Amino acid sequence: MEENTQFKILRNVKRLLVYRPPTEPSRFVLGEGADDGRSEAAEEKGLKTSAAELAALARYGRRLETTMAKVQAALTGGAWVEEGETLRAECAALEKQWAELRPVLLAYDATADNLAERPVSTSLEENRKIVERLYRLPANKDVVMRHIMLGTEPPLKATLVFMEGLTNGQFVTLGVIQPLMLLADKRRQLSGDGLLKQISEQLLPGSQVKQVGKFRDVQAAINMGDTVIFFDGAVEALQVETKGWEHRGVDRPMTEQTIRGSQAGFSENLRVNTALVRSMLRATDLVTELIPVGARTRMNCAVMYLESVANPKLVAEVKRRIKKVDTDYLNDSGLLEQFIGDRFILPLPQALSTERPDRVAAHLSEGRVAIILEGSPFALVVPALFFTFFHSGEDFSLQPAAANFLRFLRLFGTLISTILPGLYIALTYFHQEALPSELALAIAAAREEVPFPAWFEVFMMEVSFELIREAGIRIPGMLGTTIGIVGAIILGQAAVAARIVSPIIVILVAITGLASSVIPEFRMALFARLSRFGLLLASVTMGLVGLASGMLVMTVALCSMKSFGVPYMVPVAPRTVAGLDVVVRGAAWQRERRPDALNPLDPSRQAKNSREWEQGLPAGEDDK
Amino acid sequence: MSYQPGRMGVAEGIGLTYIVMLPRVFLTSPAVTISSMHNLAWIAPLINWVAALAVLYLLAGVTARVRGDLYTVSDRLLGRVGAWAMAIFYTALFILDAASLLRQFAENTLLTALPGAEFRMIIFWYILFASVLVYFGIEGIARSAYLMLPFIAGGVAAVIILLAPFYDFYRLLPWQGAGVGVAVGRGLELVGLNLGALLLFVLAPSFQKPATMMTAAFYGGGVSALLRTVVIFFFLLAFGVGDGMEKTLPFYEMSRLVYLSRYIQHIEALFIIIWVITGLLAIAIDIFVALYLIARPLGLPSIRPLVPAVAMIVVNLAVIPPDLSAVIKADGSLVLLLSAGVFGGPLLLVAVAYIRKRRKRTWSG
Repeated sequence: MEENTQFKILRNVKRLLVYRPPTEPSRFVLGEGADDGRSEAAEEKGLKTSAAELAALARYGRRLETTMAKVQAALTGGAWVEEGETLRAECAALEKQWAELRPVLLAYDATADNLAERPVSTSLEENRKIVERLYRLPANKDVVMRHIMLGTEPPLKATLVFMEGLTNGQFVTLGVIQPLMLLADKRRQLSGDGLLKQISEQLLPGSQVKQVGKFRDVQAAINMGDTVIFFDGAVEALQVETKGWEHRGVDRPMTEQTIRGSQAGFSENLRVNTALVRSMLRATDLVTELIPVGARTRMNCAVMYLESVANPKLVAEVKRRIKKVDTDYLNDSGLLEQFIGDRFILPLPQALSTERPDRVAAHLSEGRVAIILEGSPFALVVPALFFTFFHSGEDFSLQPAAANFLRFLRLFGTLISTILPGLYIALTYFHQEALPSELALAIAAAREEVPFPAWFEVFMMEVSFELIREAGIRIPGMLGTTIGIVGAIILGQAAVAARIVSPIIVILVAITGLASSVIPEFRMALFARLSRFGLLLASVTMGLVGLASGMLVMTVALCSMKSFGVPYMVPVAPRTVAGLDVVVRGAAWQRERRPDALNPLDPSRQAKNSREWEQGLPAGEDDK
Repeated sequence: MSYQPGRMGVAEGIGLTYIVMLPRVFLTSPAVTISSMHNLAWIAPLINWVAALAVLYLLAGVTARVRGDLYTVSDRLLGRVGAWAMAIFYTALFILDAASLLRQFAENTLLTALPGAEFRMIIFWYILFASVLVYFGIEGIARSAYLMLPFIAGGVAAVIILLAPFYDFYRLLPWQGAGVGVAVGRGLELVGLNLGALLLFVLAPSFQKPATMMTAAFYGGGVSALLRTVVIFFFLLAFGVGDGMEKTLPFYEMSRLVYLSRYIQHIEALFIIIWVITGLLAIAIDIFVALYLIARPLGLPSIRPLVPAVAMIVVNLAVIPPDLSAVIKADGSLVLLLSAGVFGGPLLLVAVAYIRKRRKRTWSG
């Protein structure tokens, strides 16, 4: 029915006068104050602890009652002979459980609240409860608890716990559950203190099986993708390696591609990465130590070194620093580097970051230490020295002359990339007399119609170039190329045609941009780009005096810096035995010594004469 | 950063010594030397270096028996008051040297590189960067100085080679100049230009043993003396005594003279880079050594908080002379004072050590 005007007026008046509750729900505001419920939560927590302990005692009581009933039935029913073994095992389990609960009865232990520190209980039910509390079950659907019964004599209850998605489901079914359920028949007598040992030796075909006694280890195992099996009456649990999460396969390195040399790059899987290194460096004394990092996540971090070569002090220092990292979560090796590297004012890399196992292997053989963090496809190699960042993976595969040419080119590119804009501004602004007359006139003619000062031109173009570079990386897929083309047109032709910049600046910025791209290490290239702006500013202020001052400060800073105790500018400053691998690389057979600055246990890389074949006769000419 | 410097070796010692002794070759010093010694002026650096080396050798003999830095040695030989006096004396010398270099480099920057700049801005720039270098520590400075050695020597060599068409060997005649006696006397007066070599004994704990220090002093000071000799020698070849005496900045004038073709005609601007690097490093080293000598007797755990204060003192001392001629005059007087420093302190220590040794022998005999 259509409302008339009177009705509409009445309705609106009613809306004004009559209170109605708001239709929108109240907004969520996370407040923090004295009455934020934390004290109540603490009280509740204490009550929960007490309740849990009481529940554990109650469970023990019920179990005791059941067992006694069984014993009574067996004694009265005359089945003692058949069931005697089963009942004896149950009684033994009860004894162990009692021994465990006794302290709870005597005193409410404060540490019992920390579930991770609690030992694995003999009571399966108790263990299940703790796992449920640790993993917030049943809310958490990732964690799977599978209860099984082993058909042994007596039957043995067990609970498997694993993380869905991190484990290889097929292996859990075929390699863990199936053997336990099918192979454990009545002929097997599984009991006593050696229960777990028997199971791991007779029933579990997994490559790595070990016993864990505390819930901290249980958690670590489950979080790492292993399966933990609790057995009723056992004081420890079994950890079976079932890792099998999805990960990228071994692929070509994305940022360190080479024409010669290995084409394999690291992936996100720690074990795959360590195996890649080991496949390149098949030495028995190549040690891979695993150190968990992160207070909450406990990400595994592999520290690799050649024990017969690496300086023990260096290895100990690396491990010490990693062990002392106290943070919640590390998602990348670059983040780890910030935690373990020395503090320094300039943003210079203190560890070589590489995704090439062959480079890691080469550095390990020199006495360095590699750090591979779980989930990161970049390994860190320490200590890293300034000149190392200008070496590439294929330098060692090329003849010395070619490799040296490339190295000089990179260093020249770095110099150009760092100082060229500043030098241009210094010369054109303050020291025009240094320019040949023709060049000075050409620059003046090119700048004639440009309304901005030269420094502003350079600054604007450099910033534009950086914007295009960053946009090209961030924009996904083919659009990146498009942005590059559009940017190049804007930077080049259009900007000149619009008389915003002079052509010589376009050339300068293009050369600078290209030169900065020859630095193999991304972070060193970034430092060169940042320095460029600093030197540009100094040059704008004080011409060549500013440029020289800036360069000097950079040099002194570099000379003051250390990477894991080794001066950054070694072997140039301080001077050490270079070993023909700084800027100029000697022939492979000439590089007899390992880097002196690393103080390796074995300073010799190869024999004095590693081409002994030259001393002998060519093959087939022995009888001439 | 503790006042105790880091671990250094011969290379770092060479770097520190030559760079702290070199800067005046880029200033008015060669012209002043020529004005008093005429054609034999080039021998002055060699004379004063040999004299300084002899003093350092004697001092090394003392430190071989009484190990430690200059303050410790003074403390052992002269007592607490004597050690304090030595520390204060050498602190003053190094601060005055820093101030003089700061003023001269600032003045010359204004004259040659940045004629349109504000003088206070240049002074501020130099002292700011020198303070930043001190902040990084002596190890970094020493290593950088060593790194710069080939570039500086190469730059000087390049100028000398490019000036080949302008050399006239008759300008060296008469070869005895104002007389050999004058040359030796004046050469000894200028021994203060080698005060920098004493820093090896000030920072002795860094250099492990006296042999390291003497090797560093020999080569570092030797390189510096050789460069100074070479510059004056070729300056005389290019300009002669008459013109040479009138030049305020001989090395700059030499680089200005270079003309090979229309593409290599003005290279003097590029040598500003070498001057600035040498000057900044020398000022920073002077300030560091002064800070060390302040911190040592006071037992201060760190010198960093003192850097701004000492930098301010250096700036205030630097701006006292009213004009460039006053600066040159003051620097001449300062070099004489520095010469007293080179001879005075070490010879006093050597004498006391000798007397004590003799007394011991007498008593024991």
